[in-house]
Order: sequence, then structure tokens, then C-alpha cells
Amino acid sequence: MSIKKWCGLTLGPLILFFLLCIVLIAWIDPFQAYHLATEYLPPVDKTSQVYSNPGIARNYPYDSAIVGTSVTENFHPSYMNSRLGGQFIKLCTSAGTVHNHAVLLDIAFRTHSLRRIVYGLDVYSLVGESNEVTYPLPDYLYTDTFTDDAPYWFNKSVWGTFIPKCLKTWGQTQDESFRDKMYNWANQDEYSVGAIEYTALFESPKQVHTQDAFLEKARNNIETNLLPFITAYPETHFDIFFPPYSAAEWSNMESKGTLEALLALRPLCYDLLSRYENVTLYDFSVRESWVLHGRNYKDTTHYGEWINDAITDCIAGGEEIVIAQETLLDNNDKLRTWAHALHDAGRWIFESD
Amino acid sequence: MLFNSYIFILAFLPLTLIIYFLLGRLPEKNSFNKIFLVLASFVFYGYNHPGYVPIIAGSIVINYLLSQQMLNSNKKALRLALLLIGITGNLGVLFLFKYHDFFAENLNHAFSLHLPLNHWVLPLGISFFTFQQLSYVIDSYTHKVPKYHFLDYSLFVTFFPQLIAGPIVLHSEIVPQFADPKNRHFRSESFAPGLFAFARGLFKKVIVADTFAVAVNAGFGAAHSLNTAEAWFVAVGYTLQLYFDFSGYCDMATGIGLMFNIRIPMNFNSPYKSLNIREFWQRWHMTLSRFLTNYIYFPLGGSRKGLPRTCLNLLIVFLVSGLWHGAGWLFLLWGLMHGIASVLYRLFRKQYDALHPALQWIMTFTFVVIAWIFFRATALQDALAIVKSMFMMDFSPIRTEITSAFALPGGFHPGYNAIYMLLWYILSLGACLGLRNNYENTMSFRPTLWNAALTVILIVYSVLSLSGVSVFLYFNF
Repeated sequence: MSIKKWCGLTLGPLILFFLLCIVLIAWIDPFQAYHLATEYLPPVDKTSQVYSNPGIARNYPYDSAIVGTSVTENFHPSYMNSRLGGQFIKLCTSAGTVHNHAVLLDIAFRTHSLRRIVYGLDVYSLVGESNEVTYPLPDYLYTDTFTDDAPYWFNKSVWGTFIPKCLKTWGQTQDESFRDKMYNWANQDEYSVGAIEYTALFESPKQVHTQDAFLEKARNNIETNLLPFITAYPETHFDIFFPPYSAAEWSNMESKGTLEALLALRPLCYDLLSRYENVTLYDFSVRESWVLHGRNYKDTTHYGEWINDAITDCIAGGEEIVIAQETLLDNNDKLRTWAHALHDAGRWIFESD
Repeated sequence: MLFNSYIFILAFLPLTLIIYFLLGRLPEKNSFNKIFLVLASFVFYGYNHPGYVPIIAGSIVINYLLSQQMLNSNKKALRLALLLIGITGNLGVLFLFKYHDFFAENLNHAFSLHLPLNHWVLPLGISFFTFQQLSYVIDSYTHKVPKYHFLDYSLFVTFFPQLIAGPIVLHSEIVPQFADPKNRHFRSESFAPGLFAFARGLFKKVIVADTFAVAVNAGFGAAHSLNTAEAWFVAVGYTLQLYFDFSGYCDMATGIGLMFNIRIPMNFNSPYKSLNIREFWQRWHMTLSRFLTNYIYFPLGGSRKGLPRTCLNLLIVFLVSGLWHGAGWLFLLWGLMHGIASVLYRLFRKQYDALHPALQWIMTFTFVVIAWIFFRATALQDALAIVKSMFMMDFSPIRTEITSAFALPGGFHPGYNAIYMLLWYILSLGACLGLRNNYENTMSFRPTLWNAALTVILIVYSVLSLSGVSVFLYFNF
């Protein structure tokens, strides 16, 4: 074989292969980075959420969004559409930080005109650095440029795992229920006192954090990752809520020595957020019919999807709105009392049903 | 910029090759192709840290001017003064960036001083380009070198295939090749073996070395709790990782050099086939050994001043080698270990060479494996813990953090991972010991359908493996 022929035989297939990869990924696009999937059901999966989220934020039609961690993943956009109006989408990141949410909000506001954001504000998501993300983000999917997408086009997992998943559902199309099912984990677990106690801690803290331990970081997080959107988009309404963890979660904080430090973040949030007309702050943490009933929880934090629907109803009906800092301080007292009672008892002492 | 990156493989390398050879078509009096290649090399060098570029650019200009002054002068005193300026200047810059903080920290600790630390970021490849230029400066003093055109000299230092991680090329090997007008034009006779070498090097780095790296990182991260089998797998794993990583890089450098019609010297000659430590250093990082021999061992007197002095010179060379690899006590210790091993071989060579070759290989390889532990560890206690575990005879099960590094894609049962791991070790070590090395394969390249297909497969598989989707199993949300 001549050396020139050898060069042609290697360079030709290589160039062809690389071009084919680009064309096929641009067409099939398992993460919907370029367009909405119309030929198959996209592999929207919790375990690869940071890869599918930017495409969802960029390419689905919507005018309202649910933002937050795993406790927001069981909202039903179809129900929210009917109760709150508009067209909802989930922009959720399991265990995400406020910066995780901010990078998605950034894409959402750049690509859509938004009327409403329902935002689940976990105190945990405020205690890291303001640029901290829970999982490394594949930056190439979050930028608007096409030229940095090589890790998407030439990616062993995309070709080995995600393209086959797309091909398996080829011919099927997304209907309205697809958005409800997106990231939904509601029917995978048992909801009971036993499930709560399995993840509950009743220990003495190794180290007790002071009340001001996380204040500076939380302030910085809100100022960096939330307020810029609130101030830049006054026509968008932000319904921000403290999620209804079970009372045992606050007892867990007591065991970890973070109870007072985390409780102190709630009045801070009120201080920073309540001054804006386009923000409504809700506190569902002390709704006794939810947080003191074992049947609502799969662990100390995560509640069933019926609670998400109930939260939707509350927002629609204007319930549990925080209109004064004193309300939050009173609620903190309740949470503190429950936490101490559970911690002292070493078991679930509230309703089991 | 790294060779094993998308930007390099898919954009920088093809574009640089195309533009370089297009400019090479201009009349020979033009040097636009060389100017372009220098600029492209600066882009390559400063891609992630543009602040590095003035350092290397300044170093090139100053060293070139010093060398030209020496070459123009017949006054020995002036040349000596310039030589001293050159040596102290080069080593001074290297010291400031690489060793200052190490020495300051230790002096502060030992004498309760408060010497300030620089905390400067180490410019990429500073050890390589400093040594390369030192060789030219020293040879200029003795008038052993011709006068080179500034562009050719700049290319000798900056030529991007060998800029960051070597090999440490000598001016006499590279500059004449750039000066040769024949090399201005694309030649498929060079390009084809170059691409072949690049593909194999890329595979060695991306697929082999990076797979071992996962297991090795897990092992060194748990250095104090390894059992005997784990400790051996981690130590041998690092031995293989380091070889496939560095030699893979050098293969890529050789390949890219050939694509530009530049033959870069051999840096690895199947080092793990060595039967004694002397042979190992004749096969491992050969251009560093050559530099240290020519510019440190020989000037110290080499082996001409009696046995004690020879042994001392060997120890000095290996301590310098240790320090060259990194500013830390463990690097020094690693260098000392190799120095002592070399001295012992020197003293007992007759008896050693009389041993069965298999026994010689086992002794050499085991020593190299153990020494690499000290090279890789971040603390002496970690290294000692791993060495201790290797001989503790604790054969409890191997942890999944180590075996899972070798899992096959496709979700096979994790119980098979230990078998895959064993296969990886056997095949990799077998390749090190049984196959011809890549440099020889490259230089005796013959175009066949088989190696064309192999080249395509290796590049495709490696490029696809440059990135994956990290699946986050957040079980409890």
C-alpha cells in the first residue's frame, strides 16, 4: 500500500466519523441541547439531571417554572397550570445549591419570558460558597455557543448509554403527562414512621455551630444567586417557600449541631427577600397537618406528591404567607420545641398516620 | 493545552499543520511558516495560563543573546562571565518558581525563621525549557555550537510537541531540522508514522494510564488501610500508570513532531524490560538521563576519578534528578533510593550479573515499583504504610473502589470487576515486557491496511473516551 493511500484511508474515515458524530448528535440530541425531542422520549433521569436540565430550560415552551431541590421534583406541572395559570416546567436539581438553581434560572430568563417562579428554598442550599454546585456541571451544555460542544458530540456515555435509550423509545412523542413524570420519584418508596426513623438521628452533636455560623454565606448566596433575578425581572413573580420537612429533620439538625445556625437563616431570608414587591414568601415548615404526620414522609425530609399538590393549593389560595419576621421567629420556636422533644425521646412521637 | 483534549486534537493540531505547510509553500526566503509555528506554540503554551508566555519568551531572548555574545567572543574571561550569568540566571528563575518555597519552608521550620513564601504558580514545562536552553548556553561557551538563526532557536525551545513534558531535546538534534528547507513541505512519509505514533500514544494515555489512575488514586487515598493484595495492585498500578502516561505523552510528541517533519529523540525504550538499575535509566526518560550525564555527571568527573568519587557522583546525579522531578523531600528520597541502587550495582556488578536474568528482572522491577511509591505519595507515612502493607500477608478482599476502576461499560455485575482488573494488569504488563516499543514501531513504519484500521480505531475510541457522563447516584436525594 502506498503511504499516500494509507493517509487517505486513515484521515478519510476519521474526518467522516467526526462529522457524522456532530450531525447525529445535532439530530438525535439526547439531552435536548439544541431542540426539543420530537421523535422519541428523552432520557430525563435524576441521575443525569445536570446534563438534561440546561436543554429543558432552553428548549421547552413554558412561562412559569418550579425551581428547587428534590422536594420540588414531585410537583405536577399540569396541576399547577390549572391552579396557578400559565405553563409550568420543572427546573429542579436534586440536592442542588442555590447556585445550581441560578445557572438554570439564567438560561430560563435568557430564553423565555417568565411570569412566575415557584421556588423551594432549602436552608441547606444556602450554606456553601456562592459559586458552589453539588455536582460538577458539564459547562458545554450550559453555554450558548456551539463551538465548545465537542464533549457532547464525542462522548462515550452519550453514544454508549443515552443514544440507545433514545432509540428504544423511537416513534413515541412527549405528551403533557411527560412534564409531570419528569424527575418524579413519588411512587418509589414507602411513606411511614418507620421510613422517617430509618433516616432520623438521635445523637449528641460532635460540634455545635453558633447562630451566626452560616449567616454570611447565606446572605452572599441570596445576593448572588437569587436577588439578581428578582431585581432584573420585576414583572416575574417569585413564590418562594420554605419546604415542609418532617419535624424529625429539625431533630436531625439538633443531632448535627446545626439547628440554631440553620434556623437563623430563615429570618435572614425574610429580611433580604420580603422587600421586593414581586416576591411572596411562604413558610410551610410548621403546617402541623403535614409535618407531624408520619404517613407523609419517605424519610425525614421528603414528602409525598400529595403535599406538593397541597402546596400548589396553598399558593393559589394565598395560605401560609409570611408577612412579618415575627411569624418566622414564632415558627422557629415551634420547630425548636419539636426538635428538642424528638431528640430527647429518641423516636417519632407525633402522629403515625 | 493538553494533547489529550478536544481543542488540541480537533482544532489546534489540524489547523496548525495546514497553515504551517501552506506557509511553507511560499518562497524559501520567507520564514512565515516558522514565525507562525512559534506563535502557535505560544498559543499552545499560554492557552490556559497566558501569563506564562512572557516568562518563556523572555527566557528565549535572554539566553539567545547571551549565547550569541559568547559565540562572537574569543575572550575566555568574558565568555566565562556570560556563562555564569546564563547558568545562574536560568537556575535562578527555576529556583524562584519551583524550589524557593520548598527551601524557605524548610529553613523556616528548622531555624524558626520567617522567610516569606512566593506561592507562585509553576509555569508549565519550566524544568524542560530551562534544561534545554542551559545545554545551548553551556555549549556556546565552549564554541561547540554553530550560530543559529533566532527563529530556529526559538523553535528549538518552543516547538509545542516537546515544550511541556519533553523529551529534553538538544539544539543539535532539532535546530538543523528546522533550518532544512526540505522540511517546509508536507510529506506523507513523515505524516503517516506520525499519525500512527500519535494514535498509540493517545490510547496509552487516555485509555490505559487514566484507567489505572482511578484505582491508584483510590489506593493512595486509603494508604493506611490497604491489605497486601491491594497494596501490590496499587503499587504496580502506579508503575504502569506512570509509564503509560509519560511514554504515551512522548509517543504523541514524537508523532506530532513527525507530522511537522521533525524527528524528536527517543525517550522510552521499554524500561520495564530492564535487568538492572543502570539499564533502567538507559531506557527510562532517556533524554533526562543524557542531560544529567553530559552536564552533571561528566563535569563532576564521571567515573574517571576513582571508585569512591564515582559513587559520590552517582548519588549527586540521582539527587539532582529527584529534585528536578519536584520540590519535595519524597522526590529527594526517591532520587536517593535510585542513587544508592546505582552505587550498589556499581559495587557488586559482577555478582549481580551472574544471577539468573529472571531473578535480575524481579529484583529490578520490584525495586522500581517500591521506589515509585515514594515518588507518588504525598506523605512519607503514606508511602511507608503502603510498603508495609505489601509484606503484611493480609489477603482480605480487594475493595470495590479499586476494582471498579476496571469495570466494563454496559452494567455487568460488579463481581466480575476483579477479573477485569487482573486482565488489565496482565495485558498491560505483558505489553510492557513483550511488545516492541512504540518508537521502534514508528521509525520502522510500513503502511498496511491493518495499521490504518488500528490508527482509526485507537483515535476514535480515545477521543470518545475523553469525556463521559458522570452519573450521580444520590440515593437519599
